[in-house]
Amino acid sequence: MRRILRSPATNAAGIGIFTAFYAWIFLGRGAMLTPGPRPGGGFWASWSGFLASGGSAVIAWALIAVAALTVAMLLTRRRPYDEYHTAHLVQCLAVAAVLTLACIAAFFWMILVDPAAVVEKFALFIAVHWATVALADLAYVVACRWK
Amino acid sequence: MRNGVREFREKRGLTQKELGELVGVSRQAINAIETGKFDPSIRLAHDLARFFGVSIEALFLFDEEDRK
Repeated sequence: MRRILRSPATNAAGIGIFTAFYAWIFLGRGAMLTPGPRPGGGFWASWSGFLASGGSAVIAWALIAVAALTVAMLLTRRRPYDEYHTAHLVQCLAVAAVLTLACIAAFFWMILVDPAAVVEKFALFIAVHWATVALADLAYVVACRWK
Repeated sequence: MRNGVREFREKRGLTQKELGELVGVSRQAINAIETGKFDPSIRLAHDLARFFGVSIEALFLFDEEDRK
């Protein structure tokens, strides 16, 4: 496992593939994220309106920009990560896994409390989760970069 | 883990970056080892000890407290 993580290409493939998938959803399938008008006001109505008015494309391009910068820095790296950097990456992945589990639990609770707008809620979950992962990965790549 | 990497490196007149390049790791890794923030693998410990011409036990000080 650690041997695979030492290669910057592994990190680039992981961040690139998932970002491409989410960008495809947010950019090309934006209508699916807002299946119908949300009555009344409140946060979820505002969020749904934001997605419907082109906000999903903004999210997609922001994710693409962060991922493209990360992948470019990874692919121009001349050496594999050493064991110190790999240990940090493993720690980051462990923290991300714990946070993801916590997010899933919170998301599940939100759905149980109010089953309405489930697609919009999941869209927010994905947007926040993957933006956090992409930005954390960019920070990791910048911090580990050395000539 | 306490170690004598800094002392051995400075005796050789090497920078952290130079030592890192000689044993195949980053400057950050050498710095983290010297400050006790990172315990190297047995492979890297072996490479460092062999580079300095000493045993691993002479380079890395195994305290009983490190087990905790």
